[in-house]
Amino acid sequence: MRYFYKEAGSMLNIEKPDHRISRDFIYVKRLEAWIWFAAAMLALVVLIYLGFYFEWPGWLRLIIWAGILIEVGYAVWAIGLAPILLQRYWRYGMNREYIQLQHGRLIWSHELIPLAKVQYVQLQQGPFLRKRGLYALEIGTMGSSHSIPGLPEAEALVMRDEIARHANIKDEDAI
Amino acid sequence: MSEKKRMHPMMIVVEAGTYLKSMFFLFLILFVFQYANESLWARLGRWALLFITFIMLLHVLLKWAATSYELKETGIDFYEGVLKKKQRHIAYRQVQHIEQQKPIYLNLFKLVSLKLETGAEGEEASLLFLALTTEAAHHIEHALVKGERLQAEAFSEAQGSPVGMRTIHFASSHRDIWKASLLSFSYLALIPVAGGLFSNLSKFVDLKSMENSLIGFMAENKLFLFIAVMLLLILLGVSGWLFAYLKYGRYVISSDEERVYVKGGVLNESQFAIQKKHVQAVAIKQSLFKRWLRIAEVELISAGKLDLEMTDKSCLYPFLPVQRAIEIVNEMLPEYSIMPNMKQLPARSGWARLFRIPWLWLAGLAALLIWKPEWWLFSFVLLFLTACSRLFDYRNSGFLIQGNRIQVQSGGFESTLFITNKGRIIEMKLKQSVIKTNFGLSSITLTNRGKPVHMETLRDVPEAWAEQTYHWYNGR
Repeated sequence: MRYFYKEAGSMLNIEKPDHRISRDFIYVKRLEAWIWFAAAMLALVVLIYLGFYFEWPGWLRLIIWAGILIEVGYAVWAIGLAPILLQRYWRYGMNREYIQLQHGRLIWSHELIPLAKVQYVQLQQGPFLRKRGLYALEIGTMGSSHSIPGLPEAEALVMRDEIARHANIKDEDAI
Repeated sequence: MSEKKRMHPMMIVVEAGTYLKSMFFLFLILFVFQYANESLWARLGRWALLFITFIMLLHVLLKWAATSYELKETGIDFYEGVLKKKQRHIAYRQVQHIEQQKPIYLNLFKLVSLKLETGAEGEEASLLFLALTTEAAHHIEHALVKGERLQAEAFSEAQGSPVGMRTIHFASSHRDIWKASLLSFSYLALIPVAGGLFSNLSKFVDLKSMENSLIGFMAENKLFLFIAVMLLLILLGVSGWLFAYLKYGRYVISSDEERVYVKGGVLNESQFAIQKKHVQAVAIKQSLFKRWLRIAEVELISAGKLDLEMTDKSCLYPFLPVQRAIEIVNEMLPEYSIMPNMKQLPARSGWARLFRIPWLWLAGLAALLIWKPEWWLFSFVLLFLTACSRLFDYRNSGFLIQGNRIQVQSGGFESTLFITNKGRIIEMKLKQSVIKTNFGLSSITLTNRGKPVHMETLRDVPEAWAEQTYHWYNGR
């Protein structure tokens, strides 16, 4: 069945970008997920304590316990699996005219952005990204903005300058 | 020519009028209904209202004094703000379209109001000249024409009769106005008006007893009842026709080489002009009702916010016969001329669509089960409507690429035929979930400039269409 097709993304016969984002991004994503997990757990534990102390009705406490169960299950996905899959299936690429972004496995998507329509490009770096020397590259068009999440510094700088250079082309429709 | 100019003083009256209109009910309550009321809140309220009104009128006066504009070579400098001074510069080439209103209260003084709309974000996107003499408006237009190197002014018809060069695509006839009066349901507007009149009258006259005796009289005299009903119907018809006539009478859609023009309205005349090169895409829209009657709206998509005074929305005219709508687009904007024989979706897209999880229905069912469990059967109406909408969407969907043009049709209860070309698309996205991969289906999203940004998505299309679109766009 096509479901088990090994290649990243779909079987569509289109040009596929081949640059990958850094493997270190898995670590960044995991760290973020851990923090969310810890915060959610803390909140739930506080709720359990409150429920115990104020003798909330049983069904309410049951819901909170169910919440903990769901949260743990979700954490296995968000910390264990999702970062690996995200990194494995992210692809980007660019030529003189287009930027191509492709990501996702369960829901695969492929975006094609003409450089002529790019309005701005910027680098971003949160504390976790900085720790691994990574950057997020944000590309804004007249319609929306797109982000390549984890690029090594050297590559990020080159990419930004390239896009900025080509985006400068005069475009008739951009008025 | 370069000097600071003020708006016409009529701007003060217009602004004061807008303010008073917004406060009308407060005045009515405090000074008419509760006039005899001597309690503290009523007295305080009256004084507060008078004070605020005084401040507002002063503000309007100062605002007029602070507002001015200056026509420069490449753009307009606009000064405004009473306490916080603001100065804006808008380049002529930024202007996406212009609108001119001649409401009756301005027309009496040979004045107009003018709006220049740009593609910028936020409140700064448009320049509004609330009251201008026709001459001043003409100067602004002239500056625009020079700045953009156009051939002629859009609204001023004085010199060299540029109007003669225009092709008229649509002029509303009596039939169109009848149609509009039936379809716009404007005769229903009479009901609140009559209701208001009735409740006002009842304060002075004892309508209740009159009503009772009248009903008694009618019950006895059937002929009289019949006549009364007929009269009421005639009144509704005439008033509906009048509303439609005032709004859609003398309605003309025309164009020349550079621009598209719309003009309409009888007492309050509005005009609109957009440069063809600023049109990013064209959409022909039809609700289910309009589809039955073979009527459509033509909508232009542009980077400036299109919200036309004459139709209260972004379409050029809401009741065009479909065939005529298509011809109009073909004549006015050959760049976006509509292509016949679109490709239809294969049956498997229809199935894929039917089996998509009906979230809306599930949510509705859950809500019913929580609050009104005994009504759960009613949720199936929603499910049925969802299924209908998906089937209609499947039947309506179409796709075609030819040369630089792409044409996409979709929508369930309201269908949209969307057409644009390669250079106008600012990004493209293909999407495919694991399940859709098994069906060999994908979705295509095209993004165009617009306000808000226009995204056109065609779902569950065969992979071949997705590939075709991709290669077509990639070979820019």
